[in-house]
Amino acid sequence: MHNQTKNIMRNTASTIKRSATLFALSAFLYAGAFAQDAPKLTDPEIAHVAVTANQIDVDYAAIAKTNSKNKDVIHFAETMAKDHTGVIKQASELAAKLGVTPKDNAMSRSLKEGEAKTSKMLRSLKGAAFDKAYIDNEVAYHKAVIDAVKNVLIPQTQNADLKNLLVTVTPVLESHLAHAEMVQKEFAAK
Amino acid sequence: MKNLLGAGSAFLLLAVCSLTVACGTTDKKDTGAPQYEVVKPEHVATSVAVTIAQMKFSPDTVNIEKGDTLVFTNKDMVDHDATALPDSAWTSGPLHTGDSWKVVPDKSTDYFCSIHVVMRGRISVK
Repeated sequence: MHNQTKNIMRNTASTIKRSATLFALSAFLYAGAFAQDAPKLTDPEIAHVAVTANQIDVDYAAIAKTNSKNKDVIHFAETMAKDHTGVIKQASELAAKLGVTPKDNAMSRSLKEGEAKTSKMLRSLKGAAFDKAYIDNEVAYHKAVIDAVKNVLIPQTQNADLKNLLVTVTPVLESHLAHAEMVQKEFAAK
Repeated sequence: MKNLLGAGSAFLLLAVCSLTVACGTTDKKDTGAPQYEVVKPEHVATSVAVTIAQMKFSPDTVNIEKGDTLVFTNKDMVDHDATALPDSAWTSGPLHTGDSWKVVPDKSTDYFCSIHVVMRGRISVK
């Protein structure tokens, strides 16, 4: 086999292996951030987690818009930025209306730590390797957020309006997950 | 007096109707049986509502007749649109929460939300 071909194959295998490792890492980070043996949260803390979780996906989208040239990835990132910014606005308006000041907490901090590691990893990638890592991360992240919203945040929320906002946002997150999985399948088919 | 006038009008109307039936069948073979013609009434165009909520078009399939108007209303917390597949023959453009948009589709088509591409619907025009 030609040396150049061997090198390309080696590099491709290395990129795939690296992406798979990063995907596993991000899935682990999110599971860890949200699990924490279902901590008891107050409504101000739940509001803070909701805003933080949405802001993290806006931040990931900003990296995608810089690092990707793939039209499906850019379209997905634009949708994430717009939808999650809209949810943050509604959550902030609701908190103001209720006189609730979102309060920092262990779950929010854990999410931010996970974001720092994932963002560093994403910024180090370009092209197809970035696209795959970004979409894999979006699938893992949305799965983790949906699980946390359904099983931790909604059951613990006391205020009916805040609970209703979380219930309303769930189909949005599920639609994002379906969209990310669609792009992920397109990459797998190539 | 008023009742008398009413009864007289009704009698006159009945007489005219009888005359019309008797004279209206001159060009058809008189078999002695009454002649009936069923005329299908013209379709009166109507409006059909499609609500966008919880990341779905509801109903996701609508059956309409030519000339009917579809009214899309976004009741969701995020922006959506309605765009014809596969060639974007028509599109609502972005619909913010509370916005409505009308279209009179001239043929059956699938459509989707071009922002959230997994959201799909079907319009069947008879």
